[in-house]
Amino acid sequence: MRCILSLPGHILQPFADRHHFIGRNATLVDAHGIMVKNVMLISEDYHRMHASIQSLIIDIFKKARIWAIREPQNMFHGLVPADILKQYCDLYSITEFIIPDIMTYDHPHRERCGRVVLQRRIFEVKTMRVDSRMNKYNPRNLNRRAVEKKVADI
Amino acid sequence: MNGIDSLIVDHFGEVNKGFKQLINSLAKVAAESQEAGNITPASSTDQKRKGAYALFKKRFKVALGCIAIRTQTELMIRRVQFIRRTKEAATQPACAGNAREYH
Repeated sequence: MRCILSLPGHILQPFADRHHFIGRNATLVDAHGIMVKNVMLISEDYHRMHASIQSLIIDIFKKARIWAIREPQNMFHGLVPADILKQYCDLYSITEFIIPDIMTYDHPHRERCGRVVLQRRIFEVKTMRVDSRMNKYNPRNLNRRAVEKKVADI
Repeated sequence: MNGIDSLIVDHFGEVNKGFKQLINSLAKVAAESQEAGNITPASSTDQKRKGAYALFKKRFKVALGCIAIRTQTELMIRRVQFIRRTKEAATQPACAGNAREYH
């Protein structure tokens, strides 16, 4: 049985009459928008909510008074020896650098003894697409959620 | 550096355990800050500022849910222009244009 998690949208209601198509494979438009979201469009293909989630997390960090940087290009500065860093910078251009999504320098972490230490942490934002056949989204276990399945995949 | 935390969000605002823990810890930190005293309704009796903690946690969760729904709707609105009445007409605009990189 297909499980649809969202309600039918008003935007797509006029097009969900089985006579409207979208995408490279000319998929039928559905009222829930699952097909519309997952359809392959060359110019609009990979626009997901990745950047929006990044901005939101940065805002949450700001609210908590924790300094966070979005996509820092110099994550290895101060961590690895200078000669190795120079080699890395010479070998690769900025577009090829390892760039994390969000990096914090003073994230509070409570140790077992109760002491709070500030540490450097990296956060990677991942978004999930809900495919029409639920192959990617379905966790195949009632006690497990789809997002936890993605964690295991990473 | 203590590893990398992955924060996973799906189209319906569902988040993984790590994201929940992050929201909880950040709400705790925000509730302990100076400005939290002004936002909690029970500031005088609230010794551990649990009211502020719950308030911040709720705000963060609401913001996350709103952004998930908002981006989903934006995506729909942007894609409505590619809907056509025939299969051939739908294929043509879908294949036109330049490929965009993931961001």
